[in-house]
Amino acid sequence: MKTIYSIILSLAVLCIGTTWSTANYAAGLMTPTGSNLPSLEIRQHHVDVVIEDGYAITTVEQVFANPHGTDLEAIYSFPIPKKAAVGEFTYWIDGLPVTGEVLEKQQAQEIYEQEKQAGRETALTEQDSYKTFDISVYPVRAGQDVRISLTYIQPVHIDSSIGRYVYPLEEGGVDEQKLSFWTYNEAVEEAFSFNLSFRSSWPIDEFRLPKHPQAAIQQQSDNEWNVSFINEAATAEEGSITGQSPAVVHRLDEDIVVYWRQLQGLPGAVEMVTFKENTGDRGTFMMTLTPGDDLAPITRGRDWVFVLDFSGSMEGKFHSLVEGVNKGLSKLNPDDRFRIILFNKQPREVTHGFEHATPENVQHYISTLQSNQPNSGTNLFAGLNLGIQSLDSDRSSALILVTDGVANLGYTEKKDFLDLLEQTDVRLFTFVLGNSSNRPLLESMAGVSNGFAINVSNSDDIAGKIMEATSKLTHEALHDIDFKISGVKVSDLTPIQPGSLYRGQQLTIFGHYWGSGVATVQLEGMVSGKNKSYSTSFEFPDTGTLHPEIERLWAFAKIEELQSRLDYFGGDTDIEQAITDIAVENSLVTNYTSMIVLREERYQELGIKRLNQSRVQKEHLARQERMVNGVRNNRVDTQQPMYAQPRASHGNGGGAFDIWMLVLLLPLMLLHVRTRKLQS
Amino acid sequence: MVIILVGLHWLVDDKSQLYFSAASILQGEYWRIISGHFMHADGQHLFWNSLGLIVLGGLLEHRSRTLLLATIAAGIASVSALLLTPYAQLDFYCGLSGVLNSLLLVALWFEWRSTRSLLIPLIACGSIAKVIVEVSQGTSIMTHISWPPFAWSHVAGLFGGLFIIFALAVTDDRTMRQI
Repeated sequence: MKTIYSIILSLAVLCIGTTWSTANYAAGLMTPTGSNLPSLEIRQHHVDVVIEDGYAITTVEQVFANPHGTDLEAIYSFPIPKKAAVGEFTYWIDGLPVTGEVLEKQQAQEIYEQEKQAGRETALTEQDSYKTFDISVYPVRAGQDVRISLTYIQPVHIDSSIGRYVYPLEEGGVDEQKLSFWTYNEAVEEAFSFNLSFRSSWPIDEFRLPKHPQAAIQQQSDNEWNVSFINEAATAEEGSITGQSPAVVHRLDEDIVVYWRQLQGLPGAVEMVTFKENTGDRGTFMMTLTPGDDLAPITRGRDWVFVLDFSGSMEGKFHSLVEGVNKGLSKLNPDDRFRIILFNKQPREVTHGFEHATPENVQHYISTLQSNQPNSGTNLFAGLNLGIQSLDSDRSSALILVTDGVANLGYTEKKDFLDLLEQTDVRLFTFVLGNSSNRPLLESMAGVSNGFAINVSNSDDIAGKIMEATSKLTHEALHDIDFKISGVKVSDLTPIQPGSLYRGQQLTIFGHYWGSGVATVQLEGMVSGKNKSYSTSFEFPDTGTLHPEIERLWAFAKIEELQSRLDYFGGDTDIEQAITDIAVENSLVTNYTSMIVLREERYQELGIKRLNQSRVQKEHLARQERMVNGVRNNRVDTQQPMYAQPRASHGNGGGAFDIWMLVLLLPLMLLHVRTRKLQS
Repeated sequence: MVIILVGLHWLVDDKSQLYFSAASILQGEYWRIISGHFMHADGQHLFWNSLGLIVLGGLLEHRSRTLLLATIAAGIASVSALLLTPYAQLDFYCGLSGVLNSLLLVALWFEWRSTRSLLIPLIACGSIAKVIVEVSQGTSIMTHISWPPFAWSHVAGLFGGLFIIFALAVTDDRTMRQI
């Protein structure tokens, strides 16, 4: 337990350190550095989020303004939200909203340039690798505004009965080439709003926005909540936003993190939503398994290898990390051992093999760490490789990787990292700091080693992230998971190999099905070398039209899996074509596809089918229907529960006196005083 | 004692080393058995429990400081015993409210002995009703602290109070007269 604290403390202090460090980069409008082009303004930025039935739909509406005398192009960039499928992009042309269509990336770029040259209205949404979504809009007419709207969908996960939603705005500042080329304008000058509507069949105890205490949190019922905050020009002029010029109502430089907490003691459960328009059609399902809390605590001692990012982007964070390691190491059990590896362009072991945590050793190595200054590039592979060397096969080992960046030196291909980890029997626990880390790589590495990856934002609640990590590291996990559905024809399941489930984690499975009827779902895995099995039976419905969005969610999950395979096995035109086909069919922005908006008549002239327009209309109708209907209970294993135990929670408890008790105690106090007076 | 509560809350940087944690206690961090009850999750948690301690602690200390300390010890023992059982299933626990329920029961018993006022059973019923509602609903009624509530600690606290009452009832009349 002490060991766990040491690790967690290190990470906590690191997180606090990142919070202290000023966020220099943010989502915003980009203007080439040093160019003569005047910069545009962000007039309005409105975020509308709906979370229900296991996924979140985020709609961002923006108004850009051109206060200058010439027409300009607006390029807006923001970090890619985790597992976000962008399926809707709207540009208001002649006052009317026009929805975009997805094409192959190069084709979309060519059409955008062609329309721009011709002086016609056009807009393009592209994905820049795993880093950002870039939106280009042309033209922003001299002295006028343009309005655009972007909608993305993402699954929402509950971890240990705590839900978390992040609206990412902070740029991690790790793409040096991009940052040296562009200047960012992240100031919203007229109005900013954030509105989140939440509906769940599971009762919610409380909502929390750690970095946005000004948010109004309204509980409509146990199952329906609303979170909102608005910054408008009038408010800014009253001086409520300190340290900013009166013209700036909000800066897009801080993630908005929202937590919600389910009531304790809720059962482990299987939930499912489906989409199947007609009886004979292929259906799509999203099945979410929330396991019962039946994984035992770990008590044996372990070896810990800290692999710490020491590159230039850690400047301002590194000394906080050292302080955390110091606190942690000083509390290690004598039976536990540790190694510390630093890496920037070269890896370097600070320790000399595994060291016992005597006070002398701790003091010595912390002093050594403190004398270093982070700098240079990130040779992540070399750092990991050194960390993996000399592991003791007789002892249980864990590798803690903390990084905020990308691998840009030495081996940088995902395949190399995955090969390295597959050759070694070690669990990798990755702490992904900020929005610009190479999340796909870090998550894949953790997955291959049967470890886990935890994302940490500067806006996260430090205590919450500590508990999330502690809960997993202190308990056994279900490994080598095998998932089967029988009784109903299913295919295209994703993930194909679910890997491991740690305490508190949910497992979400997407897939297609045909027909209807009762299916048996079986989940098997290994816990500490012993087989464990869970099963249940429930009905797959004949039709269901309330959740068309899950087709895109399935497509996004499938594309992620194919991309991962592509990264691992190298270039494969068949896989690339498969990704493109799925993305075009489901109208998703990916590395291979972009979404373009044109004047309505130009779609027809260019022979572009309005597939996404009809899909978006279908989704909008379903959303309206869901709003009209009450909160749905999507649990499907009520008759035959899959789990015997309640779901995991962070298991903290407290209790307080309150006004009720005060009302009761006042007469008691008065009675006591009166009695004393009479006696005296 | 209230100063200790406030000091612990505002001056201790790494509170996780002082929270009640059954796993850590079993590994030798015995100080948590006591310190956990004096730590609080947030300002609201601290405020209400401090207020409770001032009122109830004042009532008992007025009679005997030894009685106050003995009741607190019984409350800590009773709530800790519950938290150390597998039933509790808590990673961490903090707060004095469980112990305050021990103080409440003992204070009510002494006031009943002194006054025989009907107010006392009414207050007792109100207090027990609160505990029943909290246990059955799994939620706090009028406070929203940042940790989930664990209402069974209040039940355990009442048992701590019962222990003191039982101990006093079987002791000799001289002790009771002193109190």
